[in-house]
Amino acid sequence: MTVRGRKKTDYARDLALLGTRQRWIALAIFLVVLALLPFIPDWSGDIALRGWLRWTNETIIIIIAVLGLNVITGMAGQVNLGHTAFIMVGGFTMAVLTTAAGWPMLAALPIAALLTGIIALFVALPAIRLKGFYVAIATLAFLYISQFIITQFDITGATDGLYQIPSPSFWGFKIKGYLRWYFFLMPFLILCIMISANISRSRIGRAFIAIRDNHIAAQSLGINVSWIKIKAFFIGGLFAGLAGGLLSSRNSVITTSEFTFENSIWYLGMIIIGGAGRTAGAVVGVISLSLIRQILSVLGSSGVIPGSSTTSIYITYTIYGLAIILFVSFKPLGLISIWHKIKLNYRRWPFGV
Amino acid sequence: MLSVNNIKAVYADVVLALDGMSLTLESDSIVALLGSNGSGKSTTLKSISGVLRVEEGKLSEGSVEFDGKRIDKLAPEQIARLGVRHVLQGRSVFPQLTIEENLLMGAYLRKNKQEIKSDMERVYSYFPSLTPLQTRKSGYLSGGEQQMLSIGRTLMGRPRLILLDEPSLGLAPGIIENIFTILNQIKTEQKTSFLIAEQNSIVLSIADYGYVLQTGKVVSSGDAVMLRDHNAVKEAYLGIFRDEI
Repeated sequence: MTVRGRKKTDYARDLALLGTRQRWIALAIFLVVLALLPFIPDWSGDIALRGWLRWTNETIIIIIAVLGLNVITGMAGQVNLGHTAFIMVGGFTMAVLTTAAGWPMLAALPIAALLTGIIALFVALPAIRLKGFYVAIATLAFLYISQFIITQFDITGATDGLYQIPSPSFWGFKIKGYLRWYFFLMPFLILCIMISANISRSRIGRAFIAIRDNHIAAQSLGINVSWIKIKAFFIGGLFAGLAGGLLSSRNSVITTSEFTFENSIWYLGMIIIGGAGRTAGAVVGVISLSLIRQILSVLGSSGVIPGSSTTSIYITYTIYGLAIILFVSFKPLGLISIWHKIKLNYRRWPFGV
Repeated sequence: MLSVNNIKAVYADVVLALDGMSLTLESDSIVALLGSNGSGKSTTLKSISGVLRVEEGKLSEGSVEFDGKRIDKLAPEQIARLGVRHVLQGRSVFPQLTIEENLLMGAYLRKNKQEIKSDMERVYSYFPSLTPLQTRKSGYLSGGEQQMLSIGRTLMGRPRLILLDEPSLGLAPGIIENIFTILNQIKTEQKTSFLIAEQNSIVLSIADYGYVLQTGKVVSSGDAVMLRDHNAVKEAYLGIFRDEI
């Protein structure tokens, strides 16, 4: 945050991601918090952190995937209901390469991301011809088609899925257990957030927003709208493929049934609630919705919420649905807009309203 | 530089918007298209820039030539690359981008950062009221500022011909005059030609030549000075008929 009266005096400072000393300090504190996070004892009191750290790791992977969806849907405005299928493609690529072909996990990871990106690029082809609603239907179709195709082949484990997907290892040091996974995943998360933040303030990011806001005006400035859509899907696919590869390696199992349409809807909701088109919005959206989901499921399984075990699931859905309706009508720019408002008020103080 | 030869434009295969429209435009000139609502001014511009096809329309007859080459089969972005830029009606800024980012979008096809920066300074010098607002989201600008930004954004692509659709729409008279003065200045300094579709007769004060449209056809044309006092002009878009004059 910059205080009122402090002006950026040159272009370099205006463009800098971390323009001020306060931002560097904030970043340092944030990194320390991230490093200490897994050592916070969870509600059961032990630092072995079963539920808590497991949730954190899962959330990190979802954030990486949703950052990709944020490029496709948030920035470029192409509603993508098949994002979970992109994650699935990445996951199965990882699984096949490591089990059938015997590749090490770290070598398979970039291939998983790249292959998903290329497949996403082909999904974009119908999206070029279609608009709005119909793009959503095309991506939805891709979800079911890809599930069908994967279950047809023995190499992808047919309907049983694939097992014993190896964890990554560095010269004999195996990434096992929640704590090691946490520190293995964290650099990927930081890298993806940085890439995503950079996309949104670069030439290509501006082009995404331009075709979303006014595709005719974008065309009359010489932007090839079809090409930009393809790029958005490709980049989004890269993120999803990376997340899928990490996911299947962490779970060590993968089946098509994990990747439901419902998940796609959750991811879209995360973007809406966090603030579409903004990197920080996507991160905040994933964390807040996953947190609600986790808290309710813990309350449900520990018997705090009365009724059968499915009651808490229904309550989660109800809250989720209500949250989306309320956010779309009252805070269409998402949770992150509240933060921006606080920032603006601080800057204008004492002249703000 | 530009010639439109007897074009017929149809929307959705049903609505005939232009019925044999022709015009020519020489380099370094400002040409005005006058006419009332529905006379085909916007459609003429869209036929030239290729945006017509994006809006479910097409040319059923005739041709559009730019520098002697036919451009009526090209996609809008290809036409933009040739140096023909369309400023759409009603302030088509990208509301979620800042003024500076909007201007950078105009320079999307250019790579030389030094030139882009100096062009940006020039845009700010034409429209000084935009200068203090550089980092503001363009959605929050006033109507006049958005119109200036749309024009400035188009200039960032160093176009040779700018198609302007009703720049005066919804603006206060003072601002309209201001914008037209700047357009004239841009024309002399940048050697940019303009084709301006306009209902406001103020456009004739900067135009070299004008065409008056009615139901998709040219009903009258001539030097701007001559058109200003012409009866057909008054009839076509002021709604005053000959016996009333």
